[in-house]
Amino acid sequence: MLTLRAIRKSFGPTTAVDGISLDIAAGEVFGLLGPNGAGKSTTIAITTGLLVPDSGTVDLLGLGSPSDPAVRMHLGLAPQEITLYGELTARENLMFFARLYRVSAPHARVDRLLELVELDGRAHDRVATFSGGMKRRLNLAAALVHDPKLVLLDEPTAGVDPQSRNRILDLVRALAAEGKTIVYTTHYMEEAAKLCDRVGIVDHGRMLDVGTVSELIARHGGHSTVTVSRGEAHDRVVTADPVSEVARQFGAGGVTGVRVEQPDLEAVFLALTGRSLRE
Amino acid sequence: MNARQRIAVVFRREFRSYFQTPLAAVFMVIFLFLAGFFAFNIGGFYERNQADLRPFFQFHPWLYVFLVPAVSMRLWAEERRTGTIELIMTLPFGTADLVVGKFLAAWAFTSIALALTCSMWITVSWLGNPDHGTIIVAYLASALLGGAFLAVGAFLSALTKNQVIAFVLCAVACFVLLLAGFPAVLDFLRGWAPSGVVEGIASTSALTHYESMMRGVIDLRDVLYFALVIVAFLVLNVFAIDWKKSD
Repeated sequence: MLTLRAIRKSFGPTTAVDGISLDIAAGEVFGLLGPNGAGKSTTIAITTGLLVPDSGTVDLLGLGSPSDPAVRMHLGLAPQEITLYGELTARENLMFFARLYRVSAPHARVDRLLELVELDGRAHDRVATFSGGMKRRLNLAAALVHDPKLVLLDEPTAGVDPQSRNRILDLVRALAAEGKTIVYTTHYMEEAAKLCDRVGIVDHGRMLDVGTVSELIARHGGHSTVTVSRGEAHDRVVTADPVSEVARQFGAGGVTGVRVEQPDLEAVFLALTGRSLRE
Repeated sequence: MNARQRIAVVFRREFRSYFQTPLAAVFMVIFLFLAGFFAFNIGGFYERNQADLRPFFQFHPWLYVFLVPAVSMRLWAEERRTGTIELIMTLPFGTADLVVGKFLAAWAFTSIALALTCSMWITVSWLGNPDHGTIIVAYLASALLGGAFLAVGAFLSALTKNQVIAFVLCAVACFVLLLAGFPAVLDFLRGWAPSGVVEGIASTSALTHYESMMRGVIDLRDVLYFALVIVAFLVLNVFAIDWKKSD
């Protein structure tokens, strides 16, 4: 579906993307996980044809580079910034893009999308009056108006309230269930863990590793920590087999409490970069 | 979808947007007020005792220097500021359709403002027996001048996300385009520059071509001049958008 080969992009002395390669299969939800400034948005911009890489190639659907307008027909982008016309209503915004994409039956399509993002009740209100979360959802709808095969979501939950965030995550799941290929950039590891079939860890413009969440944790997450309480005493045991360890501790008797901490993507990121994702 | 349909979609959205903000009303009121003020108070519309609209049209270039940038400044700078340029640049067609659609919308808007001055024409027709052909050509010249300035402004608007900078750059550029044909400037040049150079500079001036048409004569060279300025700056606009699309 989407292939990036040895993509490099520099802005003056700063290398934003440093040799990223990727193969994303049709129907896959792929997460690009990394801190702010890691190169995620630049990678997305190259994938959409907004930026031309200094070297490397991008191929979408085997049709070629997204610098070709015909190739761009198959991708939908929800950029990190809200990209809507504030003076237009929600419906007018979507109709504008639907007409440009020459969507057949645009009114029905726009109505369906407004229902999908739960903004049908505000369809005729100006976007300038919307909350951040509502704008985000409409931004996402604008990316879907032409029913693209590949959907690029660049930090779609940045700066939204928990309710809108949950709606957006539900929407991404619904898109995945429809068989859309999704590239989802985020610096929230729990979102990547919940949504993505595979995750690529990006830092300083480089792809550090790619795999399923469990593969990445197995490779880089380290061992689980079992904390066993016996009255006021607490023992911490680091182990690769927490189930056996818990059984062994219960066998020894006197256990009043057990807590098992399994490694997560944060631990993976720490192991790969030497720093926390939120630093 | 062909280019004409895409341009029509962009045109409709852009044109409507003028009337969804106070810009349209403010622009039109100021334009109509100043055009009338200059024609009656400075141009001596009544004192001349001539049934023509020369006092009205002769100030249009100077009005446009300040009013056209107010329209053109937002064309691309606003898209850049709000980030919408990122989305429209990923649309499955080239930049030229967007550039032409936005330009035509802005031109239609300023042309409507110009058309609203037809009360001047009605007035002078009521007072005397003007040469309607001359007036029609003068309206055409004014519309072409507005279009040329808009094309310049659209190009400059594509270079920045700051509308104030876009306004100032456009005002200065339009002023220079006029000044090159201003009699005082040409007289100064004649003092030391060869006549060929002076004529060359004068021929690049929008003022020279505008005044030529304002007299009621459609000279193909004047029309071509405005067409060339419009096309040249629209092409530059396309290059500027493609060059800076990811900024």
